Amino acid sequence: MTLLRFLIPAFVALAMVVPPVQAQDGPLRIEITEGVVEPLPFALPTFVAENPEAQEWAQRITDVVAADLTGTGLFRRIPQEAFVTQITEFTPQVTYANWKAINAQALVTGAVSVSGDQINVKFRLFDVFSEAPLGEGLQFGGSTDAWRRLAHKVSDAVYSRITGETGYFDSRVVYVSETGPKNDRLKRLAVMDYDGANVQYLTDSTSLVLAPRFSPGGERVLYTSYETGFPQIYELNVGSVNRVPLSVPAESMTFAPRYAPDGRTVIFSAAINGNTDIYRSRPGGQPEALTNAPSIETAPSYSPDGSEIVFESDRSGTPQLYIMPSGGGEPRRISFGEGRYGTPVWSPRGDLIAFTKQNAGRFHIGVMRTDGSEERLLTASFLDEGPTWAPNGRVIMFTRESAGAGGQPALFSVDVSGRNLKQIPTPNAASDPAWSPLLQ
Amino acid sequence: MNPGTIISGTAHAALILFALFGGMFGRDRLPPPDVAQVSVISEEDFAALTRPDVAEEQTPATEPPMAALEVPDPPETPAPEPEPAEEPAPDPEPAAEVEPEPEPMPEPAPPAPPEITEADPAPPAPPASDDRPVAPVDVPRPAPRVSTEATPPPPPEAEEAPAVMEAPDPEPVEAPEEVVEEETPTAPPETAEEIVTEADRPTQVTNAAPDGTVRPRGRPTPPAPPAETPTAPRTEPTTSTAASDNVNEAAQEAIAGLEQLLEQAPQEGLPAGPPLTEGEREAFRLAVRQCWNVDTGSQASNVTVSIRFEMTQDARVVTSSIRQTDASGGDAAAINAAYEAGRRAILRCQNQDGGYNLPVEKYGQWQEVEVTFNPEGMRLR
Repeated sequence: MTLLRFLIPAFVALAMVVPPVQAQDGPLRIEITEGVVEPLPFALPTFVAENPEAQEWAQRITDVVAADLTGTGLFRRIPQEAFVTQITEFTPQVTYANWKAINAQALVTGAVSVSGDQINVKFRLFDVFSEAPLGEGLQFGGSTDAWRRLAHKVSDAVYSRITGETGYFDSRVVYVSETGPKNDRLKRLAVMDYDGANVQYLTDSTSLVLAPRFSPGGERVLYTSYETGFPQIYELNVGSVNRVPLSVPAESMTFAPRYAPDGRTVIFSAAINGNTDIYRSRPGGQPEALTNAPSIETAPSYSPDGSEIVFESDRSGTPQLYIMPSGGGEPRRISFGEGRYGTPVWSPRGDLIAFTKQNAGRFHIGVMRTDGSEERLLTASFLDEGPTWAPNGRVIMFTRESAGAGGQPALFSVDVSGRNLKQIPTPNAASDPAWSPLLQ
Repeated sequence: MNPGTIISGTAHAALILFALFGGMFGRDRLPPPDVAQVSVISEEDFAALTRPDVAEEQTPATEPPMAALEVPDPPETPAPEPEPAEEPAPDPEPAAEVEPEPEPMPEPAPPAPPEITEADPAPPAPPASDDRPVAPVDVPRPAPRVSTEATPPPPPEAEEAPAVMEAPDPEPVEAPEEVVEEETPTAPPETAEEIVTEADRPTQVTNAAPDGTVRPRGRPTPPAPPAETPTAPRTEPTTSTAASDNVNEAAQEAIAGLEQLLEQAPQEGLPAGPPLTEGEREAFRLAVRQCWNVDTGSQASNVTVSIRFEMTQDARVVTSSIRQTDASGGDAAAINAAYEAGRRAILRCQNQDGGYNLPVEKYGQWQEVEVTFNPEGMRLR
């Protein structure tokens, strides 16, 4: 007992002394709610030319990859002059310390080989600070004529692995090329790479053309032509450049066409007896009206799943945005801000709707959620209109026209965050862009 | 029972209790001077406190009492300063001195700024003795508030305007530049893009944080008692009883056990040392934050992800231990992108030459860390 009388206090003391030391229960937990927004620095040494013929191609492809990535505004290429070491061999081993030293968070190495008119491009991506490859190496092959596409595919793969989103570099844009004075403008359809390269013309300038729209597969284009003196919708095959008129209601003027996600159904606006409504044309079927109101309903655009349609209507007195079921029905208004809303386009992601807004004498390109909330205006100028989404729903391209008699329309793109606004180079004035899906 | 045994036992018990509880109580005395309270004032908090907004908010509360309190003061001070009445004309020169004239109210204010604000209110009071509400109230207010809080702050607030379309240039061509300008406030690219500076920043920040409370060390006294106890009893009663020996041994074992536990705690990886102070936690949080690059337009910006990792005693991240423990707000691709962004931040912002700046003596507190990256504050709205 005596022993216990002395030991008990000792153990009591033990119990009281130890807990204060174990103050930390589990790991140290911290929460971070704000970070930084900055381009991710990456190193892109010139791709290794595996044979002498590939020397020039290696440089070209490297330049296109660099332009693709830096053009997003999300990446910043580190000048090669800053490199501690040069990549002279395409190997899976890299000295990460050398790239950490220049603050490269990602490293892209590649090699190019040319055999006749065939070209092969392979690359590897490394996460420098994790000191590990970011995915497996990839290789693309094709004719030398398609070298830009190969470069775009490399860019898409790099972009996708770093951001977790699909890329949009290997895509095309159809638009209306414009020449001549403002009061006598000649317009023709043209198609180009997303970055303005490889421009090709699909129509001549004999008749006015408007609002081209790619099919979900990218092989066909819908557009409006004034060939007959009245607006009429045509479908054009991009490969063969053959075109056929769309079956539309009799004695109507049709415009603002757009494909449904299935690639066969087409929705468009038709003006009959002075009233404009939205119609749907199915393969083998007759056009059917989806709206029936005395107001003007136009600019329809399907949701990615094809279940709903967003369109523009002035039934409330001013042009506003509405959403209705794809088969027609009671629409619900989603735009309630000041000004006029028009040309809505549903994002490929399905979460946002891009639109043109006119307010206080200025035009804006903006986005809002499908319920009309969180409206954000991304641009502002004398005239911005006609947004179109990149295939990954990350970038919006649109038409911007400058003021004055000499004003010319041009194509611009802006990140959905409102950053990285830039002009797309085109040989002539350009308007009405429509982005294709990612090429296969 | 043998008196010697009783005395010996009592003495031992007293020593044990003193060694145990005396040390504990002593520990409690240390925390009071804890510096943690001071460290709570981060740069952001300090900036917030020094903003004119805050100052303005405080003024309404302080104004009434100021007027009420200072009214009685004037009558006391006016006596020693009869000069103001004697020098009506020479206003500009006396500015150098602390003698503002009664009539030129705006002039006394300029000299006030360089001076201590509290000292100035007294002089202006005497001339205003007749006009109570005007003189005493006006003089003290503008001197401290207007002079100390400079007007420059308003300009930076303009940077916070998030709307992209606001204040667009009339020229359409310049509009794109405006959008770019709105980006700059969120992330100055030049400063943040250099990893060297980023790597160095954490150290500066952490150095700015208080070193924290001094860890109360163990009790040095325990070893002494056992050394003394054997000598006393052994000399007097050579035939000491077995009971006394047992008590001694038990006490020694208990003390030794306590010491062993305390010493083994850090060696076994158990948490050791006092918790990190708020300043230390904030410094660590800022260090990681500076490298967390958020792509606000991506789906990943909707994802909240928790990442857990272990650190070595020199505060280096054990890369292989980095793992995702929780995520919400997006699909698999978005979650993976958010995780990778957080992972890069954790790895990138540790000093290249020495890991994060964390107190080594508190290693047990931060040997395992879980960081939750919640981009809520950066989502586009």
